[in-house]
Amino acid sequence: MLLREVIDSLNLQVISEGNLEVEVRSGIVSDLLSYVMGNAKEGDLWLTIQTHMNVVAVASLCKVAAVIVTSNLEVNEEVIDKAQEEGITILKSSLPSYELSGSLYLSGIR
Amino acid sequence: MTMDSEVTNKLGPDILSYSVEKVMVRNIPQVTPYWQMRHIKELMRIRRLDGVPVTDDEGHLLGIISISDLIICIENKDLEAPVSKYMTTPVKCLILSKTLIEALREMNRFKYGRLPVVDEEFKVIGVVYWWSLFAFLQEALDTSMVVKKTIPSEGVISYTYQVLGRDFVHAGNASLQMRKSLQQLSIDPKDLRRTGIIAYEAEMNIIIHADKGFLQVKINSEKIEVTAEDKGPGISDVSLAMQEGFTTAPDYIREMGFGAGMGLPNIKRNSDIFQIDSRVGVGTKVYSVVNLIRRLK
Amino acid sequence: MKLNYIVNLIKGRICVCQHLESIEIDKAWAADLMSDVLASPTEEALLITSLATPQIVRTAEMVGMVGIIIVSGKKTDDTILNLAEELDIPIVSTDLSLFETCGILYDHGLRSN
Repeated sequence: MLLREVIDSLNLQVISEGNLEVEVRSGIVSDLLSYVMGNAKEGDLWLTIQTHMNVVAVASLCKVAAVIVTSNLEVNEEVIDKAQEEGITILKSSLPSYELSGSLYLSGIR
Repeated sequence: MTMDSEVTNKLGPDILSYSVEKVMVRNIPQVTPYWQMRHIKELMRIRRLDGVPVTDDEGHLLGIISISDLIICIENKDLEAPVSKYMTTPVKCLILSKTLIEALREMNRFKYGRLPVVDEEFKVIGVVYWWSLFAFLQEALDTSMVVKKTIPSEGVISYTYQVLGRDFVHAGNASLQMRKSLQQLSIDPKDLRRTGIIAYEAEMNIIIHADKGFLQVKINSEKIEVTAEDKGPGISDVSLAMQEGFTTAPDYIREMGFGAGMGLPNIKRNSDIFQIDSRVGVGTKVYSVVNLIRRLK
Repeated sequence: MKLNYIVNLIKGRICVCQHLESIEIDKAWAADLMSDVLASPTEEALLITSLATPQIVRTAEMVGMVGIIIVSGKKTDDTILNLAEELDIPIVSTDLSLFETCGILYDHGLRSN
C-alpha cells in the first residue's frame, strides 16, 4: 500500500510532507525512542504521541516512511520545520494510538 | 577498600552476596564493530549510557566503547568511522555468578564505570553500571517516605507525603497511598480518578524536576484540595509549561515513560480550581481543588 | 470479551492472575508514557504497554485499569509481579509487538471507547 493511499483511507492530516509515494508494509507503535531505534524497520509507519524534536532524528536514522502523531496532539513549528528540512513525513490523526494501530492492521499493514 | 566495608556495615553481608544479575542493565542494544560512531553518539545520548559493550554477530564480547572513546572520535571529526576503530579491547568483564561485592571491588580497583556481564559462552547478557549498582544499594538502604495524617480542624482530614527528587524507583507511591486513603471514604469514583491524576502528575513533577517536596491532600465534606510544593529550579515560563507536549525533561527520563510534557495540562484539566506559583531558583507550588459530586457525611 | 480469550488471541503468558475467566474486558488503551495512561478516556480498560516497570503498574492502578498486557517479550521481574499481585492487577506478557497486539484485539472488536 502506498503512503498516499494510507493517508487518504485513514483521513490523516499531512503536517510535513516528504515522499508520499513509498510503499508501506508494516507499522510500529511506541513512545520510547530507544525501542524505535532498535526495532523500527525501514519503511515502517511509526505511531507515537511523542512530539519532541528527537522524534525527527530517530525517524531519519531509522528511515521510517512516516511518523504519525496520534490523539490529535499539537506538533510545534520548530519540529515541523526540522522534519521538512530532513524530508520526513509527519502525519496527524485524531484517533488514539490503539485505535489507529487497529485500523492500520485491518487495512493490511502488519 | 573503604567503600566495601562502609556499605557492608550498613547493609549486612546478604545483600552484597546477591548475584550481579540484580543490578545489571539488560536490553542493551547489540553493538557490533561495523556500527558507525554516529549511531553510538545517538545511542548514548538517548539511552543516557556512558559505555556499551561491543560484540560479534553472535553476541560474544569483543570490547567496549565508552564516552571517552566517543570524545576522541568527535575531536577527530570522524563520526562516520566504524566502532572497531575506537573501541577498547580487551575488556574486563564479570561472569553471571559473580556477586555484588565482587563487582564493587573490580570497579573500585580498576576505576571502571561499567562492566559487561557475560554467560559461560562469553556472550553479553547485560552491563553493570556504577549508577545501577549505586541505585540498587540506595534502594536497599530504603528511602522510605514519611506519611503524616492530621486532623487540622473538625470535619477536615489531611494527609501529607514526602516526595524525593529523582526517586524514580518509588515514583507513584505517594499518590497510590493517597488513593488508598481516599478509597476508605465514600468518594465518587469519578472524583477519586480526577484527584488521583492530579496527585500523580504533581508527584511526578517533583520527582523529575525538583530536589524534594511534599504532596498534601485535604478533604472536607465538599471538596478535596491537593497541594504539591517543592524546592527546586522553578519554572521560568509558566504559560509555556502549560502547553501540551512542552517538556524540559531530558531523554533518559522520557525513556522511562515520564516527562511527556502533559503533566500540568493534565492537572489543570482535572481541577475545578487550579493555581500555580513558581519562582526560579526557589521552587514551585501547585494547588488544585476537586469539588465533590457527592457531599461526604 | 473475557481476559482468557484475549490471552489466547495474542499467545500470551499469564504472569499474575488467579481468576482470568471472571475478568471482562470491553475497552483497551495503548500507551508507553505515564501521562498517556492517565489520559485514557475510561476506567476499567485493558492497558497495553511495552514498559515493564513497577511505575506503570502504579499508574494503571491510579486510573482503575483492569489489567495490563506487556508486549515485545519484555522481562517482568519480581518487583513488578509482587506489586501487581499486591494490587490485584492481572499481568499478561506476549512476544508480539505493541502494534500487532493492538491490531489483533481491534480486529476482534475491542475499542478504546
